Order: sequence, then C-alpha cells, then structure tokens
Amino acid sequence: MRVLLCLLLWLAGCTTVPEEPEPSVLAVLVAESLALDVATSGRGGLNVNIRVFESDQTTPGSIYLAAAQVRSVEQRYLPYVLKTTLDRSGHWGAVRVVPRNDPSAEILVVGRVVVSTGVELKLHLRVVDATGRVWIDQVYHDVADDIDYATDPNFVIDPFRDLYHRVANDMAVVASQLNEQDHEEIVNTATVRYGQLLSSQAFNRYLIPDGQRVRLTGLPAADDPLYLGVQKIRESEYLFTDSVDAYYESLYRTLGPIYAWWRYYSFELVMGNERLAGIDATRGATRGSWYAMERTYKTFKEAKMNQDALRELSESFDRETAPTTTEIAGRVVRLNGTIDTQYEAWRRILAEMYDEEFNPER
Amino acid sequence: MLSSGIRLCLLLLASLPCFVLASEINPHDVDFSGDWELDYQLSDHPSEKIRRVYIETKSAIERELQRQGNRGRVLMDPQRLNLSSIVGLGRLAERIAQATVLNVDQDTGHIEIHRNDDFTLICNFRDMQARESVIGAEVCSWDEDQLIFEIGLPDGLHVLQKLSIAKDRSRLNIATTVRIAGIRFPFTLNRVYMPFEPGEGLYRCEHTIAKQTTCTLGGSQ
Repeated sequence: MRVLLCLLLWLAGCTTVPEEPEPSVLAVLVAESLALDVATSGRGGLNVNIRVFESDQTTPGSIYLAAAQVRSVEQRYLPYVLKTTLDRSGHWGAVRVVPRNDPSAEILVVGRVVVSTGVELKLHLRVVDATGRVWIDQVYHDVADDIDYATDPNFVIDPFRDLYHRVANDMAVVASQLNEQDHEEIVNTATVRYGQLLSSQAFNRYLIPDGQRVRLTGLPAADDPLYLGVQKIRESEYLFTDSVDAYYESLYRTLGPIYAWWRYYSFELVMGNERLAGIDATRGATRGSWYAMERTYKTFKEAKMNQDALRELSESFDRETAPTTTEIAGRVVRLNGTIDTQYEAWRRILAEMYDEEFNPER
Repeated sequence: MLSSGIRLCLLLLASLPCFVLASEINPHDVDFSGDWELDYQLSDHPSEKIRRVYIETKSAIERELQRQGNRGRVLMDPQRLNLSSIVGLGRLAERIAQATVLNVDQDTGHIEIHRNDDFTLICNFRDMQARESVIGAEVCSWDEDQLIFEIGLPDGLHVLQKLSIAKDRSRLNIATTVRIAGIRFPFTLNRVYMPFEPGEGLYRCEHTIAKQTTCTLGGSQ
C-alpha cells in the first residue's frame, strides 16, 4: 500500500509540470549583443499599448512553478521592460502598459511568457495594428550566460536585453515600411474603433470586416459632434492611461531590483543544477561534506526568503494601489480598487458619459 | 523538461516515508493560527540533544559490534553509522529550526507560517502535490492532525518539519527532522512554542510600499 501511495505521490508530482505544446510559430533565438536601432529622424510615431503579459500556469523548464507571485510580478514587469526599450528606440509615440486588451490601440502588443528562468527567456509576442494587420507573431528566445550577469553587480541591467532589442528592432522595421497613407489609416481606424466601443450604432458603418482585418470605408466629418466627442473622451482616456502606466512604472522601479536578484538566484541555481555536482550552492565545498550540506540549505533558504520578499511586495502593490482621482468634462471621478478594477470602471464611466451626452434617450 | 536533479528530488520526496494519508482539506480541522514564541523550557536544547543522541548511538554501535563480534563477523558500515554524522545532522537541524517567533495565518484553504529570520512555510490545502522549488522539491501533507512540510534537496538532504498543536492550544510543536541519504540515523529537534500577544513591545513596525518599513513607539493599540 505504501509503495502504491509513494508511486501515486510521485506521479502526482509529475502532473504539476506537464509538457506544454510550444506555440506553432517559429522561435527566433536572439543573437548576443544586439544593438537597439534608435530613430534618427522622425515623423510622429504611432502610439503603442502593451497589454500585461499572460503566463502559462505551468511553465515547462521554469523554476517558478510553485511561485505564482513571481509569475504575477513578471507578467507586469516584463511588459514594462519592453516599454522602456521601445521608448528608448524613439520610433514610437506614447508607449503604455495597460491591464486589458485595447482593440482601439493604434499598435497593440500582447505577449505570453513561455519560459522564464534566470537562464532562459522565451516570449510569444503578437503585434497588431488597429486595422488588424499582424506585424509580428513570433516566439523570441534568449539565453543568458555569465557575461550577461557580470556587467552589473546588482543584476539590474537586464540579462535578456538583446531579446527586447530584437523585438523593438523588428517592430521598427515594419513601421519603416509604412507610408503616410498607411500611417494615417492606422490612426483613423484606431479613433473610429474607439468610437465603436462607445457607440457601435454611430460608428459601425465606417468599418467593414475584411478577413481578419477591418477596412475604413470613410470618416465622419471633422466637425461631426459625435466624432469630436469621441476625440475628447479619448484624450481623457490617454490621461487616465498615463496614470495606469505610472503604476506599472512604480512596480518596475520598486520590484525591479528584487526581481533582478531573484532572477540571478535562478540563474545561479539552474546553471549549477546543469553543471553537475549538484548545485554550485556548495560553491567550492567538497560534495557530501557537512559544509556543502549547510551551503545547499543556506542557498535554498536565501532563495526562499527572496521569494517571500517578492511576494510580499507584489501583494502590497495590489493592496496599496492608490485611488485615482481625475476630472472629465467638469465631473470629478474617483476610482478605487486594483488597477485592473480601476481600468474597467474607467471604461464604463466613459461609455456612460458618452451615452449621457449623445444618446440621452437611452 | 524537469532537470534530472529536480526529478530526483521529487522522486526522493516520494520515496521517503510517505505521510500522505488523507487527501481531504484539513481533515481534522486543525487550527495553528496565531502568534507563537519559543518555549525554551519545553524545547530541545540542541547541544544537549546532540550529546544525548551521540551517547545513545555510540552505545547502539557498540552493542551491534559486540553482537556481530560474537558471531565472528563485523558488518558495520561506517558510512551508514558514524558518530560524526550525528553532530553534523544536529547542527544542521539547529540551524533549520532556529525560529523563535512564529506568526501563523490560516484559513480554510491555506496556511502561512511566518518565522523570524527565516522563509515562510506555505501550504495550499487544496493542492498538496510535490512540486519543484528553487532547488530540489517541496511538499506538504497531513498525517492525521499533524501538518508536514518536506523539502528534498540535492545530495540526498531531506528536511521534514512536522507541526502539531495541543488540544487546548497552549503549545505548538515543530519537530524538525534532518535526514541524509546513506546515513542511517536521522536527527530530530523539537521546538515548542507558546502563544503570545504581539504588539506589546516598544515598537510597532509596518511595511508599506510607499513608506517602506516604519516603526513607531508604543506597540499596543
């Protein structure tokens, strides 16, 4: 009976880490030391929204299986790293991290963390513009080594920066292929799609589906009050999104250094595991000696305490999200709750205000 | 893919004595929650316990050797039964069981045991499967009304912490057992905790993102 229980326990243990099928898109292994392509001149760039990344519940090869809080942090942290990279490239207008899908974004980046350890980062990214044109649908894969971690004693310089550079460069290549007309079409489609979210009745007729994409059939007159109303509300939305973005920035700055240490632990331990001789948690101690055993436990304990710190900070972030007070059309709006809840509430209020102004009979 | 080291640890956890006897969520409805501080009087004193176990083990070895000697053969494997390992295991157990204050948060679904200067022991009662950890593997389980945390680490190091509580909630015991593959005797250290009212100290500290850690005088509210 005991043998059976043991076997069941072992099998149960195995079921926590099933083999996840890889996305069907081709993975690009990022070359080392890839420089960021920085814009030298510029017409106004398109605005980019990066949605908080998704993460596999059970990430194959990840050391984070038992650490939902780490996943939760990296889902918000990694998009912000991409945002800062896109900002530095200078090819774009406002780049913002947002908690939800935004079909009216000029450029929307959605991502999924496929593998994330201190050694390896694999992200599945999909970049789509407002017309539905898919710019990128790609798995990006980068592997870190000792040199990546050696450049900064606090490990804050991202060891996977080459991956973000590659994504930014790929996006810049697609953007550079757009002519003025394409550019204008994306901006106008985004505005009309935003109008559609507020009032499908008024704006549906300007867009027709074209396969996976949408085509703009025309635009409302420039002085159309509905269209002007949409633009006005959208400006307010941008202000609110900036405060949401500030939340992610705060998370990036506060949790970043801790996450960096955690990632370094992961690197050290994963590499140690692979190297042999059990983890280099023993760091020079003779394997099997008491000293080595103590070092192994000490390393385990340090990593767990770091994980605790990361979890507590992450929970604090969710708990302590400050209420946002903002004003729109002379009305003061105060939003409470998590950033996700605030974003949802904001969207609802905007739609209600639009309705009150333009569809008073509803 | 799981690394071979971690798979080995998961296997190790599963192959060591199995304590998973019930799959129910908290089958005996045990409540460990509260604030606890070390009761030095009732707890094992590491050095004394090491000395006692050393003497007992030495006697056991001598008896064994005598018994085997009487039969004209000596089969004692010094790797499996050596006295220095008692001291090593004991010292390791002492380091692992060093916490003097516990704060236990528990609800129907999970428990968090916060320990001073140590990591938090967390168990999700709804998902008590062995799982990969930063290194090695971890599992929590129930043995009747005792809650068990097991950690399997590389090189055959295995740590088991068994929590039990008196019916009147006057004491909570954590029995920490350290075992190393290939060494016959594990070492167990009992640390007994008693309830205490927190916040009566001179300082009350709070950690927030905005203010980091701030402490104020006059703890009780």
